[in-house]
Amino acid sequence: LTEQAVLRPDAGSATTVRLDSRGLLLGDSRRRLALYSGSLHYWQHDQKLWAPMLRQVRELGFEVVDTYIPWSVHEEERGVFGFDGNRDVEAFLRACEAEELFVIARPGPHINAELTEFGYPPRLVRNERLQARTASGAPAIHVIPPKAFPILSYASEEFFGEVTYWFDAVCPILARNQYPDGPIVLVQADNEHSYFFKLTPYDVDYSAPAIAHFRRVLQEKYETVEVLNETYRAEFGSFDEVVPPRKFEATSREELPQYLDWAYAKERYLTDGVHRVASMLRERGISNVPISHNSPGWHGVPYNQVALEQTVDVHGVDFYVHRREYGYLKQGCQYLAGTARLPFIPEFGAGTWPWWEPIEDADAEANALTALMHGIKAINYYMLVERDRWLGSPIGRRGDVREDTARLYRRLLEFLRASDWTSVDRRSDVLLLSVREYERFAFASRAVSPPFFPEALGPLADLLRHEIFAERTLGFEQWIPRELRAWSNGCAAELSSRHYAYLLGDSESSLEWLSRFKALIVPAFEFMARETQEKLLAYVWRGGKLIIGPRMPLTDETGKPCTVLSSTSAEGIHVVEHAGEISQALSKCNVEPLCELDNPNLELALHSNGSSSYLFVANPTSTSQSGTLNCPGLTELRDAWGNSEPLTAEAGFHLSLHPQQIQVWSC
Amino acid sequence: LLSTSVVWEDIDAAQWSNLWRFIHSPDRFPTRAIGLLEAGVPVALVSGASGQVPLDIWPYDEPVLEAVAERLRKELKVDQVILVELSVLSSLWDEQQRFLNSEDDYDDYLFAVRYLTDLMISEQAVCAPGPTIKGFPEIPYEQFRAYIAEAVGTEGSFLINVFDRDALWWSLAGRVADGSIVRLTSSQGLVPPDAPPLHSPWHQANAALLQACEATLGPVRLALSFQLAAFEAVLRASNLPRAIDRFTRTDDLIIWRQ
Repeated sequence: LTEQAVLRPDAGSATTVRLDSRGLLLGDSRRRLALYSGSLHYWQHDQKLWAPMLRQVRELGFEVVDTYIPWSVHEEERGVFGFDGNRDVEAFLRACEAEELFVIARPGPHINAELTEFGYPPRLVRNERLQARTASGAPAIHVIPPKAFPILSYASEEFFGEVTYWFDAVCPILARNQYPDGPIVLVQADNEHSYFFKLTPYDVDYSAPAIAHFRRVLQEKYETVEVLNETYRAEFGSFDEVVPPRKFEATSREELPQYLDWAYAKERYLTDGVHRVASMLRERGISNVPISHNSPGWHGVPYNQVALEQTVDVHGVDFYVHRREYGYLKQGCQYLAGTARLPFIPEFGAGTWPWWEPIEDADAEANALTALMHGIKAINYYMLVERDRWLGSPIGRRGDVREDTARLYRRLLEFLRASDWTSVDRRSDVLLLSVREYERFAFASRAVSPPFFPEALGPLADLLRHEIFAERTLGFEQWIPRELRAWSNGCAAELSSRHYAYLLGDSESSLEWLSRFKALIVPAFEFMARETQEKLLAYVWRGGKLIIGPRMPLTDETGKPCTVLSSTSAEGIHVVEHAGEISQALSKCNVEPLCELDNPNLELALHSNGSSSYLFVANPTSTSQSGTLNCPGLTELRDAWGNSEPLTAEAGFHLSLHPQQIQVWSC
Repeated sequence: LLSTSVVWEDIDAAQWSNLWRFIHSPDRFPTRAIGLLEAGVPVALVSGASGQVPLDIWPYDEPVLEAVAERLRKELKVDQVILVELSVLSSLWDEQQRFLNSEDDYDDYLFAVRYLTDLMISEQAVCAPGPTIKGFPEIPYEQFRAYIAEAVGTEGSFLINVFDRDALWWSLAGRVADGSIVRLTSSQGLVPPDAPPLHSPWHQANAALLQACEATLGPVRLALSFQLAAFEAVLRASNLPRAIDRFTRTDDLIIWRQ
């Protein structure tokens, strides 16, 4: 499958700037704007430096610049804001326009930006009524230099009342500077809305407004308390009597639904929070441009990529990684490419904050190629221009260019232009699916919920680094969370080592979306939601091939019999008990690997449009690797990145890669 | 020590990488496994290297927890095993989050919650080897921080340079006002980017940086200039003044105090 450029029907349809799977389209002319951007924080620099800095951004090859707009910096007192001197955001927007740069504007309310208290006015975080609470009712604390602070509850109406003051002041500025009247082409709602990285199931938020939100989610799902009682085997008089779980205590499968609902409510807390902020922006005139959001992770609950893209036009994932973390970045990019409207990294580390492992130039190069290899189409480099509490950017705080670092960005932008990257599609035959109900099960059955204190946990830090599931089968034949990871990870390893063209997907995606892939690989256990089973069966009826395992589901998630998949007579369903059998099943489905390559440690991806193709070869290992590549019809490989000699076929192409090297071949 | 408005700029990325790799090198840290219990019954086992390990290997035939921990330590080939009740962990995390004092800076709070963690492990967990985590090569930052705070006082600047032979390996300069650090930078913030490279030998480079620090951040109250091996030893020393004295005598550490 190469036709990736299917626009979801609602993507930015009412706006002057539209968004599709390749980038932005401006105005009626539909001028294509590739979203290759870099961050510059105007308030951190003297106004006199803006123009020369923006010129340097432009000189590196970027057409878009990104900035936060910090509430705490502009607020002088509640409802009174200053936009003078280096806080004159409108003057900054004019400076961008003068340098022919488009702008991504990110007004928060949460921005982080390495600011103390993350850009919220200090009066807010000190207001106990606005604070998120732990399971025991204590304020939940985010520990970060220079000062730990209590996090805010996005279920609090009073909090959104405070946001009104800020948005009423800043949104008119943004609204009148939207394209075509100004340089703004994208506005981000909030930032990394993720419980302030507290991603364990039973740590936060147990504030009264958050519990009320949980009950509203249940009421929306079950409509009447009688239906809920039937599912929970409970006798609640009303939804107000339902209390959220504070740890995983289930001992039988019958108790599972309430934990799955808590996991679902944790997702909804995030999507509803983003939706609220995005709606406030739209209500205040941000109507010409798409609205985006970014998360600091992608895997499983509480993130829900598909639901988030029902609240904003595009949702991306931020990555601050090092070249040894190839696997994590690869999977994140494969997931974005397999689920998102526009596979977008809204923050891709160009340097780091001082209390994190520096991202070196070699990391940045490997990261860029990994992202492109696995399907990313839009990138914002954070921070392109260095400032307080940041290090390692290509442009220094005085507007000076660090040539050693800047070289990569020039080269990357040159490659993106020369390859016409927005026009090429990654070949993707297979989608390896995450099934949301299993992800919720895995999340809810975590044995521990440490707060996000990696530095403070000391000898217990491993409890935060790993998923740790309570080891109980709950009456199922298998310990499902563990089997889920084993089966899915095994399939991914098999697909990579045998060089299939695959992406990662999500069961929440629409049938239309899933139907673009020749084959779906789906983990399945004794239960699976009826809705999921029906969607998968519809996919098969449309001609898709379904590889499912390790077993067929027989009930839904509440334990009621549900044999939609197991009882069908439809052809095209293959049950695979062990991940090692995936390639045989794919062969039966007429899905073949990209090419023959005799080294399973090397990975491949192919991108092409009508006239050009780019073959990526990655060596993710820490040792040199070589192999012989055979692709029918391929006679020459020309180096497209500048780190290899051209190759011609002599009984195949003889590839040789350094540790952690990625080669890009034009073919 | 950090002011809430601390400015942290012109940090040399290469120097910062050196320090990060030095502190976080995996071979400096002990490997651990953690067993989680609920009313004495094992619920989960995690080994730092490999993540969650199935409870199949749990020695259920062994009634004494100390012996369980020791057998798991041998089986998993880790330096230490910690067995702890889930309820104890929940209480610890809750207490950690209740512990924030509005006057604390990041370091104050971090040290406080780490103290709580260490106390919990020594009093309420079963460890092999146990009963405490003492003896593992973790860096006692607290005493280094206290040393700087005492030397600089409420106003002034400080400078720390680490040299690998004559090459500047890491540097940190700071300005203190009203008892808090208000600015942090590296040699990059002391010497303009277009200035010629610092002169070797390291004694001379150190003198040049000291002068630049004085000019940029004001009167220097404390400057420490280490050779790399001395830096490592001093950072890990249980008796900081004694270690400083020792390396000063061998000329691997130059101290300036005013």
